[in-house]
Amino acid sequence: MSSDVQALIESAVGGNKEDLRTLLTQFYDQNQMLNAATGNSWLQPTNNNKQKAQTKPPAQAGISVTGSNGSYQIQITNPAQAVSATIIHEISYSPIKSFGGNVTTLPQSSSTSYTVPSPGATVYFRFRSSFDGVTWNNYTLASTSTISSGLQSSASVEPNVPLNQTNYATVDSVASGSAANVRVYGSSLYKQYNAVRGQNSYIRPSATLINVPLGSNGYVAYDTNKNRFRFQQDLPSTFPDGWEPVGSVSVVEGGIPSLPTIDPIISGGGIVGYNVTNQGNGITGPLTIIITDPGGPGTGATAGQQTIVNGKLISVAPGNAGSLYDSHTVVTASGGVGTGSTGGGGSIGQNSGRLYVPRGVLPT
Amino acid sequence: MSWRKAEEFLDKKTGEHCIRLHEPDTDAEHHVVIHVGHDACPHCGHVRPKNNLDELDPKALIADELDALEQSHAQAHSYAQKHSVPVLHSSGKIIPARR
Repeated sequence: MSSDVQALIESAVGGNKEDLRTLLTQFYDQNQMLNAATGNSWLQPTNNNKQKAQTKPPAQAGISVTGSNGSYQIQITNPAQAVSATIIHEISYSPIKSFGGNVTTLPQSSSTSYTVPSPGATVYFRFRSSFDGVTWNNYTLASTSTISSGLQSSASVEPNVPLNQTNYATVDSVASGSAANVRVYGSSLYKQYNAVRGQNSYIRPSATLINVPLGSNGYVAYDTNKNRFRFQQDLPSTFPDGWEPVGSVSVVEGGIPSLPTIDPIISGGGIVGYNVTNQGNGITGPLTIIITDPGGPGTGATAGQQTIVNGKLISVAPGNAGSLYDSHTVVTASGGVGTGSTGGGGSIGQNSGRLYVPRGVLPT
Repeated sequence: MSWRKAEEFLDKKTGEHCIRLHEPDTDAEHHVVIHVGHDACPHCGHVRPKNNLDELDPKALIADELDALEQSHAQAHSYAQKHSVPVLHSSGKIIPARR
């Protein structure tokens, strides 16, 4: 402090009003210059000595938002300033242009570069800026139209580590009276199995589900919330939080096994397709399909892949069309129907079993 | 017999009679779930009560399960005794062979 100023202060303290006026005028002028340079304004008259200084918001910054691979890339360009000061930004986004709801606001930050993961989103972005986090400039939309983040490429996902889910259980079924027992086990009957969830593995109990009705298709799940097994009629029912799908089992309905009937679809002398007119029942394996043309010259046709679901033939794909077939052509199915009584477990990761019990010969 | 019934209840909401069997030496569990709720036709979805509940004997069913579980356990136990092999308990302790 200079000796002149020191003398003015001492004089003002001593009661010289003229020197007090000079001192205050100099103080005012100095602060006016400072406010002009920094953008600050004078404190408002108040009794609250903790009141923060009112700060003019910064000039409008620039923003660029692009979306790709399931993420938004946000780049902010700060405005030029006469005096260097930290600018805080607040970015928010919403699917509604007016931001009337469903608004997500990112934490305030002085950073000018952001990455926001949000696969499959289509939203509007807006932002505002401030020096002190109290006084903000007006919201500015990054774009007047929505911006899509795009879908996340599988190539950018860490391979399998946190998503891996499998188990080493076998699920099968055996007849028991007029119903079936569904069994869940590990390496052998009554052995516990290992369930893998992400990077952890758990030992799960074995189980016997008794009195499951014949004719049902079921999915077995383990409810980790209550530590018990659940048998559901459809796969989505095994997806509540905390449930682990264990395996599927089909308990094929009882009934006299029957072979399907198949008509050929002939075009230009060749067999171009097969029409399954009766799906049959209790089919346990691939059928032998023979094509004959009694009294005719037809030759060379073969049937293709068979689709068998729940003991019924759903379709037969065409194989070689052959030639010279006519309306007398006959397609005969044989084999494929067994009298098995024990369901077999599927391979690891494809657990499924089936039970076929012909009517009248139910084990007791 | 080491295997025993540890818990049993009927969940009327799901129609399941749940039994938890436990073996303390290995801390192994085996669950038995007896379906006593309604059945639904797999084709038309028609629901009807189970008509075979009178035929079910849960005590016998549980006894059968315990027998099956115990057979394997007893065989291993006999083997250990016969050959004086110490047994690892689920607590982590190795129990010296009985002589």
